[in-house]
Amino acid sequence: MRMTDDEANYLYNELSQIVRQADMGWVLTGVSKELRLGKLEAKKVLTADAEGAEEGAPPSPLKRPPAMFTATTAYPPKDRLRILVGAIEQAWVATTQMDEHIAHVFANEFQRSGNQPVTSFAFRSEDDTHENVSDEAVRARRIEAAAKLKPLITELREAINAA
Amino acid sequence: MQLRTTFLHDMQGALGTAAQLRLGSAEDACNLYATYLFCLTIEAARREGATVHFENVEGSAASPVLFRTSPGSIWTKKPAYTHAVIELPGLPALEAHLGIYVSGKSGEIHECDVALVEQAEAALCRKHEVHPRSSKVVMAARCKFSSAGLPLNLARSFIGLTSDIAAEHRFLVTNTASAPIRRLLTSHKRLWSQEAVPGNAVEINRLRAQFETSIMQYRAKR
Repeated sequence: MRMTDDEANYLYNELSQIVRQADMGWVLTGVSKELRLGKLEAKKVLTADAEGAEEGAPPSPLKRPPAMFTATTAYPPKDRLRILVGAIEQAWVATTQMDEHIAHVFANEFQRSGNQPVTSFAFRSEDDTHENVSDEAVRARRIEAAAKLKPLITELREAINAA
Repeated sequence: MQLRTTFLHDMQGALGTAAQLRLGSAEDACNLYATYLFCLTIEAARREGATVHFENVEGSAASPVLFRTSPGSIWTKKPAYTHAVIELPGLPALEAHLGIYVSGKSGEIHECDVALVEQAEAALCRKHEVHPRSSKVVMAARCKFSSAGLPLNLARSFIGLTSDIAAEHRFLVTNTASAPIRRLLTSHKRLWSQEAVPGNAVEINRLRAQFETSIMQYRAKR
């Protein structure tokens, strides 16, 4: 059954709420920016009509080819939902895969150079006020969340695209 | 196709929280992304026959592995950030850094999310507390992780950046796609990679091959 615009809007709002509850509001900030910008569309415009033609004057006998302009239009509900689903996938699934890849490279490289394999790495600000560690426990939680999420994202995309 | 009635409940259960996942801000995701591209650089060097080890600013073995949360100077001693030392047979060594400033032709400094710098230059800069010159930066990448879309000013600032630190072997790498950015960068002959994420093997292989080309050309010029 085809998803209606109302259903797409409902899912968009519910999913946004779930993302907010997960304290991942930054994901929604990126989505909002994209939605505010709107969808870029190429549009043909007859410039002869707009330039110099007085109101009520007969159309010019000289036909000019239409010029291409760029317009922005609001995303339709299903596209809005697609963008949100893509953002969730990037924030939860893509970052997990990156984290796994980084851990794999560090483990290999440290071992190759004769050192103990490294299983964690950290980001720390110069003033020591912020530190974010990626270790095996964090990675395991990310992997678990991504594994649960992947089939749900597939299910949602199939529902959005169903004819 | 209809969604199951428990779909939203399942989504809620799957997401976890930012605190559990340590992804509380866009910067956390950006840092992870830059580190991922740092690792691709290391892999590219490996494929070019390099050996790699990790050091901190003092030249000691890097333990723990520590990276910046925002751009900084290559000589910062505290915290002792980690960089990779890349040794190519018969060539002067290189260093791969995350989030350092480099100086451009104009003398202004610019942020490079990932930078491959000649080791002699890096050592000189640490000693004298100056920023590496862009002419000694073999490869650099500006990385942008965005949950959705990309602002056009990203391309404009990259064009500005690369007019000062040279355009050759400088990449704008993003996890999402933007056709206007692609068009703008291509028309200005700048290098880019979009949708460069682990799940997109074609793009990742292409990007890693471009990094390899940068290293290969460094070798050829010596």
